[in-house]
Amino acid sequence: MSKVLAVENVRVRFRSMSTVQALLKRESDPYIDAVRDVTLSVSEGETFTLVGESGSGKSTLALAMAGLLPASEGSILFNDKEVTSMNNTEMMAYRKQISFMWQNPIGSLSPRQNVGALVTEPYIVHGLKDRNLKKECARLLKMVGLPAHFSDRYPHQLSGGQARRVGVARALALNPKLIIADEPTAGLDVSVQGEILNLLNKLQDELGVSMFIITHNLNIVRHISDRTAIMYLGRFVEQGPTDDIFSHPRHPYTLALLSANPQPNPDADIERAELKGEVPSLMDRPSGCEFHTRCPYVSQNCDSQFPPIHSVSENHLLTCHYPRQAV
Amino acid sequence: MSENVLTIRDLSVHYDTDRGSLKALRHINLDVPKGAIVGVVGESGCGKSTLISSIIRLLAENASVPNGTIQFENSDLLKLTEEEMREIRGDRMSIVFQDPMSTLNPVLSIGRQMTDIQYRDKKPQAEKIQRSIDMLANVGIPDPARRLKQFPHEFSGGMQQRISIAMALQAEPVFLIADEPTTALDATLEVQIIHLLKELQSNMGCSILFISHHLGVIAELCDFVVVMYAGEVVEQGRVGDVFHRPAHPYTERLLKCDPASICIKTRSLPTIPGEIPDLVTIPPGCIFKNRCESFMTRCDTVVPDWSEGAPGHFVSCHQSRI
Repeated sequence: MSKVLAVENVRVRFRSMSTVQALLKRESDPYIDAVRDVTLSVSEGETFTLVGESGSGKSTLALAMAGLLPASEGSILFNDKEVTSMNNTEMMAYRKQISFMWQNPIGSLSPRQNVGALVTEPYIVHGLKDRNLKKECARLLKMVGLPAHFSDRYPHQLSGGQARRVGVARALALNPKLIIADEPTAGLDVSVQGEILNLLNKLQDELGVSMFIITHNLNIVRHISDRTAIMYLGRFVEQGPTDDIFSHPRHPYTLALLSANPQPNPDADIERAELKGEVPSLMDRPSGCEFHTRCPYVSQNCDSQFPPIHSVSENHLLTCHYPRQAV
Repeated sequence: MSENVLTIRDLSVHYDTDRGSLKALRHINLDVPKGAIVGVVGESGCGKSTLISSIIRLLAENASVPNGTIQFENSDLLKLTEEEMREIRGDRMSIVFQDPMSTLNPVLSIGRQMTDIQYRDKKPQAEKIQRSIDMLANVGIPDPARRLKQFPHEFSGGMQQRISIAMALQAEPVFLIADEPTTALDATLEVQIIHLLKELQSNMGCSILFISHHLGVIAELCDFVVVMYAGEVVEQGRVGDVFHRPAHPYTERLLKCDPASICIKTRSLPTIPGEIPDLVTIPPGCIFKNRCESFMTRCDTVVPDWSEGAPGHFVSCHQSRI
């Protein structure tokens, strides 16, 4: 399978104080790194999910991948073309091939446009005026399972699930190679969530589009994704095939995340790897392994040395001094 | 069953809209026993928020309550004056909202906010500050005295939610409403918050009404569960009874839909086909009939009774499975 998107050692930073402030405080590094040294690749027709707590840098990474935030280091290759150094014309062409589904299904639709205008907007933005917009709109709505008369509705007349379907239709309009979806099911009920995920799965099978999905709902990851990465403080702590990660989590943070997941069974006796403390601030990253302040298995070297990359198999990688053994 | 802190009987809430009266809640019965945690589950739009607003009497202006009583400690909340209600809110009864960032005032320090809400006490300021420090320590915030001077944005999401919980419990209420307090948090923090609530609840002995659409959280935290659908309570009982022997077809389907309960990897997740009926024109008969798999002719015309199928396990269905 060929790679659609390859991200290598990407770092995204934000300025946390002005130059003058930094001088006054004698701070040599007035930046915070929201994403640090992230390497990943998405193959054709594959679903890659990114899991991590809020504030761990998931959305920032997605924005950088879409060229909406500059990456300060590293490279992002899309079909072997470098995204970070694209000029405006190239960027337009790039954005035609990727699409973004935003987190808030209703908030990401303009309240002043009706569904018809919303789903055909990509054609206008990219100057494809020769298309029959009415026909395209009907085609797209049919694809996502909405009746054609919905094209006259406005976002406030839609339920969360319907608005999400409009979001999917909009993302599919230009036949993209890659869809980046930021929390596609956040705020939806379990039944509607199932419908949206089934729709995404179906469209992926039909169209062969690759997907990069951000979520913090572990229950859905297992069912929809081929590969998974777990992010903590802007770094990937573990990435690999979803099945491997779920059956044999190796990194203590992955283990804690998976075991923390509450089960819908009141008698479930869950053995938990409990985490102490709070997520450290990005302004003040811990030394050594950045997870050592919360790790239940902390041992020597953890607080002083950055852990090496440990590879379980060719594409199952983690950064830990003492990876858990497969049970 | 022991004494109830909150007893809702036959409560209905209607909203005036352009299209007519929208019957958001219809004939709700709900009990919160003393010292118990009661979970409320249901899809969005089923009336969970309207239920909370009617308990704390913060309903929108176009809402009306045609019938029902909300009995809280010896008084009917719906009959109290605005003044009497103010005495109860925040003191006897308090609430933790979904999003901690918008609960806390971003331009005031945590300490200021925590002492401000103790306005009822005629204690010296120093004592109020001490009380705030103790509360922060209670919810597990390290170095509380220093943290009191900080502002909400200086805390992580999990800590902000702990602070909201600390503020809600500051006056030692007998009844706490938690409106999806863990949706904004990741799994590890979610578990921390659940354990915290459970611990505080058993120490202080207050009752909690816990709203969530996360079935796993309800199973883990609650003693009783109330299942709502399209403005009605369709099932109520002990968590073990409802999760293991769901009596209403909706509850059964909802439990099956949860991806967490599906152990085998699948690319086609179960759903509940169909839509919630329009609440302006309530169809006759059972409210769930258009989506029910075990539909029979009686369901079309006769509204099922609210009956006790097994001790403490209530359901409204013609073919109750208990």
